[in-house]
Amino acid sequence: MSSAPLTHAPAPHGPATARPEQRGPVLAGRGLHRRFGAAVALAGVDLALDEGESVAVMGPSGSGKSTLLHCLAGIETPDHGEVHLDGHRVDVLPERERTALRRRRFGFVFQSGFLLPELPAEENVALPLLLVGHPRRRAVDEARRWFAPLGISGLEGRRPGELSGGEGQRVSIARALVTRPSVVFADEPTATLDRATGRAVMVLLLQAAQTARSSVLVVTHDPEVAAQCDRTVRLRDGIVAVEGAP
Amino acid sequence: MTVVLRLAALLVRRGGARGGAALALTVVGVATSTALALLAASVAPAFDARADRIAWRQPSAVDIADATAIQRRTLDTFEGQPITVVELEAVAGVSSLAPPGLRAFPSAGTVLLSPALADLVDTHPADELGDRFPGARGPDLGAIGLAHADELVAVVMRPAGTLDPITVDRTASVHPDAPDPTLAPGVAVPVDDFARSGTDEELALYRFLAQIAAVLLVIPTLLLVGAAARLTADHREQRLGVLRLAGATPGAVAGLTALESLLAAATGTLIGIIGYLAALPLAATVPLAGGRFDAYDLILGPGPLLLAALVIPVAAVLSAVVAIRRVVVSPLGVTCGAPPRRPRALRLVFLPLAWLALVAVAGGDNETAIPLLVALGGVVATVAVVGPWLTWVLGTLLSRLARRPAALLAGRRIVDDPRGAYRTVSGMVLAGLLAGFVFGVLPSVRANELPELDRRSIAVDRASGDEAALRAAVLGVDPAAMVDLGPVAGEPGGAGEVTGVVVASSLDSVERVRTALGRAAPGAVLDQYAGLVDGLGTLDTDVERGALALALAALGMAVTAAAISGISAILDQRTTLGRLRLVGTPLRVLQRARRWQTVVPLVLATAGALATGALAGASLMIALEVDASRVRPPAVAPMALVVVTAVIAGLAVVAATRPVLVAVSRATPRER
Repeated sequence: MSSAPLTHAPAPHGPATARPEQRGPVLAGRGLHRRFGAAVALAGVDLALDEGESVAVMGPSGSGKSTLLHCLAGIETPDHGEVHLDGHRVDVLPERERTALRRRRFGFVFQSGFLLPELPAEENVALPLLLVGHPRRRAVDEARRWFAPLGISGLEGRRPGELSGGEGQRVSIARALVTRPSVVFADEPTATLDRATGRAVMVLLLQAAQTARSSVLVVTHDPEVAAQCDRTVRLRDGIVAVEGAP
Repeated sequence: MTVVLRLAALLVRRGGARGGAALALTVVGVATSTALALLAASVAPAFDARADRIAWRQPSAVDIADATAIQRRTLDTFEGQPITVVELEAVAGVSSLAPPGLRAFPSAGTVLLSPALADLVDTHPADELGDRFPGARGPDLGAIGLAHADELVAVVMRPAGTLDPITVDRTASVHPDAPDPTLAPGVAVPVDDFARSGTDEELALYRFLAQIAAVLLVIPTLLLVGAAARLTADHREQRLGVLRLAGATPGAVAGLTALESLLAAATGTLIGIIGYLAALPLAATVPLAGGRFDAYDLILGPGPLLLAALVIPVAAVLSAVVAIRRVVVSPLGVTCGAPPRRPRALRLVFLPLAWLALVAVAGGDNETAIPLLVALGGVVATVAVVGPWLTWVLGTLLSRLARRPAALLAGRRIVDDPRGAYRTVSGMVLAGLLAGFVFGVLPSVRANELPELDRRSIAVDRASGDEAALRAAVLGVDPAAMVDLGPVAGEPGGAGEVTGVVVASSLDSVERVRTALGRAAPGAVLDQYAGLVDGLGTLDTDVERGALALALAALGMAVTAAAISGISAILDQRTTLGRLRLVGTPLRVLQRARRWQTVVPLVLATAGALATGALAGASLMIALEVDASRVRPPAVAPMALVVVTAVIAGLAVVAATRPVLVAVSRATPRER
């Protein structure tokens, strides 16, 4: 399988790609606190992503990496603190609007793909477009255009159970980027892959995101993955311990 | 085995809320299915109990020299309700026989009425009813001699020499198929005892219908037991797959599943049996064959209950073990998300085969109803075999034609697990089968209801006395009545008897005319409806009411089952729902997908079951040799209403279980 760089990004479409004039960070979390019972996951984290920037979040298990990602992505709401997208506060939005936000402005790549097992690969990729109202044929056509650049041509009709780990992650990347989101969240995207495949997947993710002008937030344990990002943030016990270049 | 027991105990203990919910859902599903299956199975034997209680009215002829009494049974009606009149006369003025519920042979001139008939007599003018039973009122007949509490029965004690007994010639050669003349209504028969058990032609028909209803219900109910045992199958598969990967042997995994299912199914069966017993008083209120049951009649013996207590848990265990065969064969089959096998089109072969078998059996010369019931059971089972394949076809069509994400998701999910999709709505098959059967047969039954002219007509047979006296009696109460009576000869005991038709001038006067005829010619057979030429004619609206009540009960159970399956499906799809929510899928899209997922197999299952039920009704009419000219097409409008009701009920279930979807989809998805 080749990991050819993206040379032809899909043409932008409709509301999914509409992005306001960018001034300041695309996404910013300020003073984020999150507690699960007695366990403190986040104890006042500040983090900002500029347009097109890639940031790796590292730290030991239980340091709050995934919780930070969930709070920034609107999957969970912080106990205290604020999350801003394009300067607008989003953590106070009701669940329905946060869901719409994830649909229109965010993309996700997770450890095990998180693809829907019932749908063939091309429909998994097309799903975000279908959800924002694109007609099925157009959405699937658009989805198919992502397969060749990501080196997974010919796998459009396969179901997730019939794909290898690396292939599944590439399909996930295509799905995450098909709407040209403002931010792509990736939680341990290479954890289940071998080193070479993991590296190739990260290269593809970052290149594709760059082409789509999407920012990327990667939660990872892997220093190699972090090294490919513009910046690294290290968490320890729910606070930012170190921040800077990888 | 010790390992399996330890593992089972551990998993049950550590199963948490989800494991507990799965077990609870299985228990509820099995309990509901058990209760309904037992109720369905209890109706046919209840007709046997009725037949035994009324056997004393069917005289068993003996030589007059051995007889202690003479008995004559005639049939009458009042406002369309049948009345059985038993006349008794002691031979030589003395008899040791005592009618059921009495200690001694009542004296001549005494009239004993069933409580329901006594009520009617007391609340209607004497010339309409009471005068038919002249004499001193004795105590009411006890329940021990009545088919049911609403039955109308009169026992009239005649003075010696009133009844002219038939002479039984036991030496004459008689064709085996020839009707026994002593069993005909209106024939006085010498007897020496009352039978305590026996069969009744009309009740035998109802028994047959009840057996058909039981087959229609019991088989799908057992399938529901299987479905209940597979609830949250996905969760179980994943867990057992992990156990297999950890080194558990196929035997240990199968044993673990069997043990877990046995625990839940045995508990459910026990609760179901208790529920069945508790529901008996309510079930007994459904009037069938003219009246309500005594709840005691509906109690199945220890044998059937024990059988249920064994068969149902075994069926549940088998279903659960078969459901996890993917894990048993290969643990990676589940953990790697391999696509499940699609149902094969080969299943379709069973459909024509089952129908051919049914038609062959129905058209054949069967001595008992068993072959027909077995063939019918085969057809019902075929519905469950073919259903998943048809569901898969519809799911494929839906996913190809879908333009919006909800329909696409629903279609793909149905294609992914057509058996599961069908299982969710399979409960509706019960209601569909019953409704199809009722609405298939009903138009033909109703076609036999006679117009008013015929309801005013009284067919007179075996009327002793002279024609002029009868005419005078009739015209005395209804001067405008039409009387067409004449002598009959040549039949056993027929010499000197009068036969013919009397037509009352109005429905208001018909009961007075009947009473006058009965008084003028005691023992005459007065049939209200001419033209009851086959078994179909004896079906009445009680059957319709009873079957519809069962269909409603089945619908209620189906809704419960659909709710349980629906919740189970949400729990099973927890991960998928979390993924969908993650990519920003609105709840309304998920809910719309669930509606599609429910409605598509629901319409298929209900319509298919209706068609099967209607065809089963047609087969019944073939079996009863109903003349083709009297058979009417099924009632399509009420069938369509059943489909609409099923869809509404299915949508209501989806709406009612929305909070579970909301709760599950709001839980933050975690990596497995």
